[in-house]
Amino acid sequence: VLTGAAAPAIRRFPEIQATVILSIAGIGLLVGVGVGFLLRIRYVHRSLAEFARAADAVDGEDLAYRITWNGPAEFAPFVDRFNSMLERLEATTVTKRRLEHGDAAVRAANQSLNTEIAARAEMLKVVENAAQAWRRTFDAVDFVLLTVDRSGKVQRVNRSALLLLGGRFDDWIGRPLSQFPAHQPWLAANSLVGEVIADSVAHRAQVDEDKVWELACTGFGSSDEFCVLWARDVTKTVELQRAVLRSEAMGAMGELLAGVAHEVRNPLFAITALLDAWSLQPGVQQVPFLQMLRQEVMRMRQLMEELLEYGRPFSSQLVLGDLQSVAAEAVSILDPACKARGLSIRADVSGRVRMDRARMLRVFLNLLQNAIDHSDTGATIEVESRLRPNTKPGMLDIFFRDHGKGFMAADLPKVFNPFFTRRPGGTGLGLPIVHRIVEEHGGAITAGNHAEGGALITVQLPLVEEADVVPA
Amino acid sequence: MPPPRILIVDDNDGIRLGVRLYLQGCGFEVLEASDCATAVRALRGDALDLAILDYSLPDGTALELIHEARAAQPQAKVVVLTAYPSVKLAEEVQERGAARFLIKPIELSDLREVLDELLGDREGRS
Repeated sequence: VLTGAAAPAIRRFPEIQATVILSIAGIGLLVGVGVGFLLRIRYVHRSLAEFARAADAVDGEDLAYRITWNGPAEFAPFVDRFNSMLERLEATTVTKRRLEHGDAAVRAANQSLNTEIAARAEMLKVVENAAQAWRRTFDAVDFVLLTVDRSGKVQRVNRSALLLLGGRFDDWIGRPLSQFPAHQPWLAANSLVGEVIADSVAHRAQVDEDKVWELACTGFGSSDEFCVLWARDVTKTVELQRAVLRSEAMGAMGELLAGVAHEVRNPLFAITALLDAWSLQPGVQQVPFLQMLRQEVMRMRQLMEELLEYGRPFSSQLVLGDLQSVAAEAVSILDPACKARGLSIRADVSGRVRMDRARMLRVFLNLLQNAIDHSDTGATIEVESRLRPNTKPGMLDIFFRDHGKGFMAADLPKVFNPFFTRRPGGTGLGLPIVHRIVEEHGGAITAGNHAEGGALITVQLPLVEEADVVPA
Repeated sequence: MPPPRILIVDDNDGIRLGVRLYLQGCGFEVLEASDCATAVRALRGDALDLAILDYSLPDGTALELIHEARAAQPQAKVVVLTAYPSVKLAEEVQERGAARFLIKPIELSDLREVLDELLGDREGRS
C-alpha cells in the first residue's frame, strides 16, 4: 500500500507508462512518416529535374531532345506525351537554326546560279566573238567565197564575191548559183556545186579563159547543212609558172644544145683536120683518111639518131605486151655483137606491161649493149625480172648485170645526164634515152654496182594485173 | 736546128691523125696520146716544145696535164683545144699556165699560126 504524496503517482504508474509508450510510438511514427515523405520528395524532385532539362532543351531550340525516363512509372505517360509533343514540334516548327541553314542553302544556290549565268554570258560572248571573227575572216579573204545549201541556194557571199558581182549582199543571198552572172567564175562555180550536190564529195576545177580561175568546193558531210565554195583568180600565178617552165625548158634546152654542140664539134673538127691534112699532102695514102672520115661521119649520124630518139615525143598509145618477147628480140639483135666478143646473155624476163614496144626494145638494147661494151671476153651478161614484193599495183624489177669494172662511185649521180660518158666514142645518150623511156612508162631506173662486182642497172616497171586487162 | 717537138693529146682518133699529119707536113715532129696516162709518160720523156691538150679526156682533164707539163717541161708551151666554149674554163686554164685556149673546130692553118707565134718566141729566146 502506498502512502504519502507519492502514493497517488505510484498508483497511476501504468497509466503513465502507457502514455509514454504511446507517445514514443507516436513520435516514431511521425519521424518515420516524415523521413519517408522527405525521401519521396527528393525522388520526385529528381524526376521533375529531367522534365526541367527537357524544357531547357526546347527553350534552347533543341527540338530533337527526348526524355529518357527511369523515374516513377506513374510519370511515364507524361513523359510519352511530352516526347510526342516534342516530335510534333520538331516536325512543324521552323527553328532559327533551320532558318539559318535554309538561308545558307538559298545563298549557295543563288551563288551557283549567278556563276552559271556568268559562265553562260561568257560563252555567249565567245560565240559572238567567234561569229564576228568568222564574218570578218569570210569578208577579209581576197578570193571569192560562198556558202551554198543542199538545194543549191547561196547562203552567204563574201565581200570579194560582192565586188565581182556588184549590188548588195541581199541581192545574191538566197538565189541559186544558176541565176548568177553568165560568165566565169560563176559558170564554173555553178557546175562545180552541181557535182558536189550530186555526190556530196569535194571537187576542184580550173578554168582557163580570159582569166585563169581555180575553184574548189568542200563536200557535204553527213551533218553539214552547207558547202563552202571558193574561186581564185590565179592568172598571174599561172602566167608566172608558165614563164618559169618556159625558162626551165629553155635552160634545159640550152644545156642540151651545149652538149650537142660539144658532141658535134669533136667529129666536125676531126673531119676538117683530116681534110686539111689530106689537102696539104695530096700524095699520101688515102686509106687512113677515108677510114677515119667515115668513122667520124658515122659518129655524127649516130649522134643525130640518138638525139632524135632522146627527144622523141612520148607515145600515149601504150599497148599491152609481154616483156619476155622484147628481151628475146633484144638478145637476138645483139647476138652477132656477143659472138664477136665471145660473150653470152642469159635472159629470164617475163611480165605484162603497157608499153611502146619499139621504145621498150630500145631500153633492152641500150642496157645490154652497155653491158657488152664493159664485159670481158667469155663473160655472161644476166638480165632477169622479179616481182617486187608488197607493191600495189604490182611492180616488176628487171636487173641488168654485167661482170665488168662497174661504175665509179663519183660517176653514179651523173650516168643519166645527157652526154656524160667514159667510153671513148660514146655519145653519152644511151642511158639518158633509157631513163626517159622508163619514166614515160611510169617506171624508175637506178644504176649501181653488184655486191660481187660489175654494174647493176635496175629497171622498175608497173605490171598489168590480169584483172585489169580489158579484152579488146 | 731540130724541128719543134709537139705533143697532141686527144681521145678522138680522127683529130689526132688529122692534126699529126698536118703538122708533120708543116715540118713539126709530132707525138700522140689518147689519154692522160699516155700523155704523162710523154711529158716525162724527152724535151717538148709545145703540147696541144684536149680538155676532157677519158681518165682526167687538161688541168692535171697542165700541172704535169709545168713541172716536167717548164719550157714547153701549152695550148688547150676544147669543144667546151666556156669563159670560166678559159680563165682557169690560163691561170694554171696555158698559153692559149682554142675552141674546136679550128682551121689547122689558124692552129699553125698560133703555134708559129708561140714557138717563134722560143726561137727568139734561143
